[in-house]
Amino acid sequence: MKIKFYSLILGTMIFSFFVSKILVGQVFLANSPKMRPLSSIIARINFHPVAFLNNLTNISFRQRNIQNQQTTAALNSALKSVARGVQASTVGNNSLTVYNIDEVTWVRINYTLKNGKTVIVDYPLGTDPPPIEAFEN
Amino acid sequence: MYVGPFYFDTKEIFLILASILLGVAMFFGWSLWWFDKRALLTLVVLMLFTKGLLPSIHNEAFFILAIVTIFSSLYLPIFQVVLFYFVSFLMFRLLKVI
Repeated sequence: MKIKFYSLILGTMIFSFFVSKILVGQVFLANSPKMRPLSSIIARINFHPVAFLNNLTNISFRQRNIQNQQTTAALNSALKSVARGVQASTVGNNSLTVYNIDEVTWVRINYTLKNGKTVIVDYPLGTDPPPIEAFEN
Repeated sequence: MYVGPFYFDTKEIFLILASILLGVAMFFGWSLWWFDKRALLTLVVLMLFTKGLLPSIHNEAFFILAIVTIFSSLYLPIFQVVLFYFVSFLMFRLLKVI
């Protein structure tokens, strides 16, 4: 009775994990509650067995994924504090900036663009403000 | 424990205490090892809602789900953890586990 109960709990959680993984990958956008357009969701569904097997055995994708994971791990281990709440690292051609929103002290600056519009920009104290050219478009 | 007309059992009190502690930690800027305070507070509030809306649920299954959810927040994005929690909770109800 107890084994059945715990097996049911374990099986349910494993099932839920895979359902959430599929939903996050295929239905929702970028780990947010925003859903992809329905046409995009349908387009991503592929029931063809050859395509499914290709997906499972796509070695070059896995190699790129492993390389990405190694780069990410190297970037994460090289993080140094730049300002309060801001950490950054550079490894080769890749760079990573981590903002801990709760700790950052924000500085507000107003830019007046060429078209007369005023843009309010917040940037972390201790770093350089973003260039006005980034907002011109 | 009764607060006016409302009854709180031990687990709910602990959940409320945990959420107060997390709120205080966020306010004073205390850092937690590995865990993200905002994610934990979100999860604790979700658990309070679900436990509060269904007070007679089986506590052991809920406890296992809560522990797994909290520790999975170390490894998974918070949105996936929230989805996992809701799907698990729904499945538990459908399968009459809780």
